[in-house]
Amino acid sequence: MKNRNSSQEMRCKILSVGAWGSDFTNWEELQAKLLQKIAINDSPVTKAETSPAPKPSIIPANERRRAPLPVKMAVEVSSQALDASGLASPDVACVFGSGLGDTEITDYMCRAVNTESRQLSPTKFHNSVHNAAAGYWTISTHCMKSANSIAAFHETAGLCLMEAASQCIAHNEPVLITLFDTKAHSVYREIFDCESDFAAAILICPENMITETPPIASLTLQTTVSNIPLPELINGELNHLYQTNPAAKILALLEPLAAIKASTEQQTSQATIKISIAANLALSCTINPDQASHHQDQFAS
Amino acid sequence: MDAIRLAVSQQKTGLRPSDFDALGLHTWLGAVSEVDNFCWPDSEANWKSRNNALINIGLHQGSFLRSYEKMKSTFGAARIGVVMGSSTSSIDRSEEAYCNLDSDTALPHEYIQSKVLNPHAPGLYLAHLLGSSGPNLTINTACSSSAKVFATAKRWLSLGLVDAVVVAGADTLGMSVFHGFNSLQLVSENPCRPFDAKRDGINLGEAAGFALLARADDVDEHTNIMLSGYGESSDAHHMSHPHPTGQGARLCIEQALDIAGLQTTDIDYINLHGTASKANDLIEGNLVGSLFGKTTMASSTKGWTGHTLGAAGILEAIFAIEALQSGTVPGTLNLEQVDPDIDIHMVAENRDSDLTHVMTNSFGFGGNNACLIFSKYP
Repeated sequence: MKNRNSSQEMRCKILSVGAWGSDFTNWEELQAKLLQKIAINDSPVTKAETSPAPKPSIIPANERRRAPLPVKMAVEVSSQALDASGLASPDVACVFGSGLGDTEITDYMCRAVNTESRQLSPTKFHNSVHNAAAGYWTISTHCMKSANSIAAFHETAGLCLMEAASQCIAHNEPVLITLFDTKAHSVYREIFDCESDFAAAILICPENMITETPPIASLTLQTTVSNIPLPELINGELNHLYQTNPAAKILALLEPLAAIKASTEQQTSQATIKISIAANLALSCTINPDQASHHQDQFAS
Repeated sequence: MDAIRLAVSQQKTGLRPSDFDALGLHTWLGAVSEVDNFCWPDSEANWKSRNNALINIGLHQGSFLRSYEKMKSTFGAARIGVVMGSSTSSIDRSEEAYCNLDSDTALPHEYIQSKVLNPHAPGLYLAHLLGSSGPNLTINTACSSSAKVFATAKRWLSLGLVDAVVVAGADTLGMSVFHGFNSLQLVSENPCRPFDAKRDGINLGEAAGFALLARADDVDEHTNIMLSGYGESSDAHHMSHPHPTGQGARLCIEQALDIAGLQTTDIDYINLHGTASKANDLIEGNLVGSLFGKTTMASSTKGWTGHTLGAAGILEAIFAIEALQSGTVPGTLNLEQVDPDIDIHMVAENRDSDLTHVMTNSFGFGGNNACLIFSKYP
């Protein structure tokens, strides 16, 4: 057997993050939650607040009315990340990922085709494609770059990160990663225990790209065979979301990223995200405070 | 592959008239009848779906599994990626479950299949059949899905993330597909006629296709065909209508040529997306005609297969590769008179020609475009 147990490293920079969930509406709010140390046993059992559905103004009003919740969430967080990056959407390729897709529309279609008329709404039909969010995003932002839409069940977050980083490096261009999963429709609740909505976007760019906005961190990714169990989050309140919502697996990366900005100590941190259901194959993420932006901060202070 | 070769050489379509009572629609279909008779062993019943049955049947064709096993013993199961492309995944199984919902709200026992009723179902099942433990995902970009799998595989290989990739596409006929396309008034009651003046819509089909990709210097035996270029782009125009001037399609064709280091005049044959819808063929035909002129041959093979949606990318890549290997350019079944509004060099009848570089186009809902170029290995 040819002995290649680990892959080459992929290096890129994280420019910005967007986030939306049942009790946070942007990255700053999620960041604050990620930094709260709450033991799981202490986490309150009360039902989480539910933020009103986002209304991303970037989608033209006519289209926004027809956009389903997963699309609105995905476009909202993408818009947040793009705005914070200082980049223009026509220059940014995108990789969208959802583990479960839109189970509300799946329910609608499966019911409709089992009625006598079997009639489907044409709008709901075109909204039913897994790449609806990517489509609404590229249409709304006039982005003609590559748009991907990936499903990898519970491993969706890790594989989207891997796919986006490989595009970023292979094409030497910035890539938006948008992960989103809404709570499963009641019919599917027995097989998917996803009970709350979550979306996050991360905008990455090549290591050598000069950007007006200083990067948050540099990121090194490598596939690795690992027997280490997946970590629990510092904030126990988020663990249920992390474990049951496929998109929320990205919290493993967002937690150390949240700590970077808050910390004055500029230290390297690690995160691990699974990329294979069958084995212990994982994506190891090394997060370093970006040297350039660190110096800029020092200079500014 | 033997059946495809025979059907092409005999110009024999795989399309059949639909059963109106079962479907509620008059149209023609590219249905794979073997799937109806597929028997699931008890031990595998939790994988049951029409799409998975089609994957199982397709995977066992020809020598594919022998080639895969050789790669697995060379590189190890964790170093082989599995990249699936699909649009419907296993929605056929959900549709069936809804005929039998318990008190309208709960999945019946035999449909408690978390690995089947999610959009990554075909990717999970393929990895299960292969015993692969490498990175495994499903690209769901509607009708460009299984063209984009080649682009992902090429990047993963060139970056050394894996040592081989099984790329695949699988999509199955189901009620939501028929009635969805029918709601958009895109389905023809007749055999589809790509690029013909009298074309009046698409026929739907089902297919599964597979290819094994590796870096050329890592393998001793190969097909002498290489993936020389790929392009991916977005229309940024509309969810279900193509960009009126084909600007998005042009971008992915240009990217593919750029990556391959080729000019338009180097491309000998293009397997067009060519669905036989009014809009697609008009826009794609005039774009390809204006970019490639009269020196490049072009055809659509959807008259043989119907539009196999998320499987169309790899199925038509296989048609293009077969043309490269056999030297026979497939014609365009049912094409009698090229639409006078489309200025393109269409091949209606099969034609023998020595080919070096071939291209295939795939365009999907959401304005999602992909283009692949395959070349003879020098």
